[in-house]
Amino acid sequence: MKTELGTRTVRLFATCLIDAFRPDVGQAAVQVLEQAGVEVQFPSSQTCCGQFVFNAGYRQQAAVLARHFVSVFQDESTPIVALSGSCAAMVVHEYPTLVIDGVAAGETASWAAAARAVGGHVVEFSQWVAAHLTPSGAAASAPRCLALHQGCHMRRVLGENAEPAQVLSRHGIEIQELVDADQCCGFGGTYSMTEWAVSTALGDAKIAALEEAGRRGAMGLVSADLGCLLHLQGRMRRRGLSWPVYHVAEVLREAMQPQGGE
Amino acid sequence: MAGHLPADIRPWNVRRDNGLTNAIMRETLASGTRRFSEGKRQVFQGYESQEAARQAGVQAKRRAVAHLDELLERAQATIQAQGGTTHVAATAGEARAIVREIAQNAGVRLVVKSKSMLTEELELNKELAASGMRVIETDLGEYIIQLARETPSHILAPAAHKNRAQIRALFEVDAQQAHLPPPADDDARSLTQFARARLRQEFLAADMGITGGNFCVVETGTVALITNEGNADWVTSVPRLLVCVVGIEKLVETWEDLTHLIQQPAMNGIGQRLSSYTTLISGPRSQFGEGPEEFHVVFVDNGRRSLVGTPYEDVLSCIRCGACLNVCPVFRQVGGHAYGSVYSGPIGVVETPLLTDFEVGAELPSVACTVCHACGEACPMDIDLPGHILRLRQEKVRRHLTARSANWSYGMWSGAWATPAGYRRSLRLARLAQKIYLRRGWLRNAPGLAHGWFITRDMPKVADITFHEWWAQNRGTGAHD
Amino acid sequence: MTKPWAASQERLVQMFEVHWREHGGELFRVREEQSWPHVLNQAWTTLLGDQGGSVVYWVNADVAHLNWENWLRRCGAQAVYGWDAADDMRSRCAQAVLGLTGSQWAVAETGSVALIADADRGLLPSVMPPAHIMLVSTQHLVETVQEGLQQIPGSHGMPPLIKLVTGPSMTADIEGTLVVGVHGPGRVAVILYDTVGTLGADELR
Repeated sequence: MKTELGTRTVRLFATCLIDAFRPDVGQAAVQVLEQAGVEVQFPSSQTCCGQFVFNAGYRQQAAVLARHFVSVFQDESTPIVALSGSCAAMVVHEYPTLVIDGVAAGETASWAAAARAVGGHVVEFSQWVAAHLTPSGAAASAPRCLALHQGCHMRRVLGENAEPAQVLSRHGIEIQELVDADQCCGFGGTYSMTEWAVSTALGDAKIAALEEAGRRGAMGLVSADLGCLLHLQGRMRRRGLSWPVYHVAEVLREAMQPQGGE
Repeated sequence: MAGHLPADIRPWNVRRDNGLTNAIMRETLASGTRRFSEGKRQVFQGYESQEAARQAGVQAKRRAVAHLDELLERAQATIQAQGGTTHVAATAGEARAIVREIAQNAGVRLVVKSKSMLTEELELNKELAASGMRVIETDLGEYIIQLARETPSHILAPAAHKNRAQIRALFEVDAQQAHLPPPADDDARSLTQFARARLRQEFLAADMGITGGNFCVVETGTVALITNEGNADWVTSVPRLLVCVVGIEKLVETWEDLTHLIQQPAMNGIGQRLSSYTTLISGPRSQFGEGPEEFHVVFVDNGRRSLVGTPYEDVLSCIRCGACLNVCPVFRQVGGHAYGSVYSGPIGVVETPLLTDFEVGAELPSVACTVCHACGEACPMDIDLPGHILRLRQEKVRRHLTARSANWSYGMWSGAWATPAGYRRSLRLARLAQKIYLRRGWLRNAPGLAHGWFITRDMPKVADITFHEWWAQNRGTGAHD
Repeated sequence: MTKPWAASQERLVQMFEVHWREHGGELFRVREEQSWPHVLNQAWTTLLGDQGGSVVYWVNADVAHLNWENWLRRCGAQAVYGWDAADDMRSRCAQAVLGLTGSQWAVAETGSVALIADADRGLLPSVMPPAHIMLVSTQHLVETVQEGLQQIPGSHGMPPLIKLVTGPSMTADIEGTLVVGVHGPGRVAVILYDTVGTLGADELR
């Protein structure tokens, strides 16, 4: 893949889940971008967007994390490429009103403005790739056919629907739509822990849909949100199922590998 | 003033597990809600005018809520001028007493009802039965659950949790008591035929009809009723007394407002352009006309007014179409009974604690929502359901309605992760501590908040080299390339 | 030659037909007065087969001069009762196999028919019998529910009881299976008719 207009610089927003549990997804994203000639920066003070805490109702606590995020990312104006649609939605849609929670009256306007500015630079990974990179002629070693799971926040809060399928199809990967694709997989942040029974029932429904897509040729599951994937993969592993799951970045990296190995 | 809602006092996990283990209900709900949602998608396609009508309807509902007191006064004046009688009940208890007295004064012995969520909310049937009246629900689904002595599991499909065999068994007992031949078979058609014959007896014998109201138009004094079965037409045409029990939030100011809204419940709830029967009643019958001799409208507050002027005000725009239930992943899994409230699904999650000031359903915002935003997308009245659910979670934290251990966990979590050093330290700690929970490189358990995850799922371990560490080693200062 | 007005009315007829049939309603058309008996017979056969029984009916003024009782008897009606508020209409309707009524107006884009109760026009024939035929003048077709409803609050104030019928009585309350004919009629038909004045005289002939 190549960037459209010469060298570009982006800042990577890796997310805490990828950082801690699947760092290879972050590496894949870096490799995809760098191979396309993009300069990747990683502001290493970043931690977590705070969505877990926010969705659980702990607004003040989430505001602390939101302000940290804004302070890490506010000084520059290069695109912030987020490796999660859900976390991107959090920054874009919740931060402007969240960051001012617990801030002295005189500082609210500047925090809100900073949050809006940061939000304005945030782009979900596949969306950025779809807009700025064009596929190169490299032969694909990625799975030929995958089922796509679109995270709910990416679908409904960011309103982003086409991009993951678009960037994957460009590399000749066939995308199978899941039955009830617009239904939540049941992850829901800490909902997966506090309401594990419902969360698991929803996960099982999604896994049944994946198995059905498998009968139509899907070889695994791909998503732009690692939270959903960890939940589904963890459930499948516990049930002795072994469908592979991929973050979009991982599939793209595979797709860009020359055939016959690394 | 907060209202009162009936509550299923069994704890959430009991109600939830009843739902999760009820295969019939889950199957029926899954296919029903899917059919409704798909129907909705299709019915709006190529019907752009209804999108404009929907938006005008939203404005009409918002305006009405903003002028609730004034509209209530005017509605009463109009209905009275047309020969009707009006009543206003601040509480559920008042509403029950008003309806009971109307019935007692008229010597009523048999009441037929068309479906009304509000009368479920008021537990009106119980009140009338206690005064010696027989009360018969005439919506087929409502009739089934009345026979089973249960409550509705979906506002549009109250008996979605019952299968044909169960319904036939209920009808056989009922047939015996009513001296009617039992259902010929257990297919839906035979069962429906039985109910038709059975309820006809009651319609013809009833002294009083009770309905809810989908909308109530101030300028014309009209109560609008929408059904597919036609039972509301019996209830409004046959008994000599009619009582419409209407929430104050059902008021819309003008007849034109009604024209924008009238298709919305069916369009959004079941994917039809209009339900089979739309009945508009504006007063008692004229000298030779048809309809009730006496027409009463009982306006009920029961906590609704307390939402006016709060961030939750838009909740009063709900038209009970059921669209949010149909798309809610949690509702589809656990069904309506799990909510322990008359109102289930996303609107129930929001409305139940709000109307009762957290007395009923305080757990719902936390337990019955994955924050997937499907309800917000589905709501034709643009009610900010996902936003309200998050707001209610925050409200619970503020009111100390959350577990202390959870408060501690989330406090520690955000405190530690607000600095890069704290974040890194906590991951290093987790990496050390996780060793006792590892099996073949995967986490099988964890303590505290995270424990729930591991009851049904595994988790990759905290990586030996996190992304931060990988970056520092491979791309960090001095290490780049 | 079709007049522009007639052309736009024909568009509404087609639209009405699509949506009325969508709900499972039957539709018939009377273009000239002499075909009434034949069309009525068709409608009867479609709804009731060769079943006989009693009928309760009322029609709009524009077709009141026609010989309804006679025609209905020829279709198979054993007894025909015109709506009469002084009579015991409730038990008449309870026994009837068919209700035949006129209508106020009908909505093309939803396939709905409006009925308004007054002294000469009861709604019970639309509720109680197992089958219902509605006579709708093409002159009274409107495109939207809004257009129809806007005609209502007239100079005489609000009629106490108005009903829009949009298909047969139906339910899906038992395991989501659609069944028609719960409390109201399971079989419904509309006979659309052109009145003199809506079409040119040559078209009527």
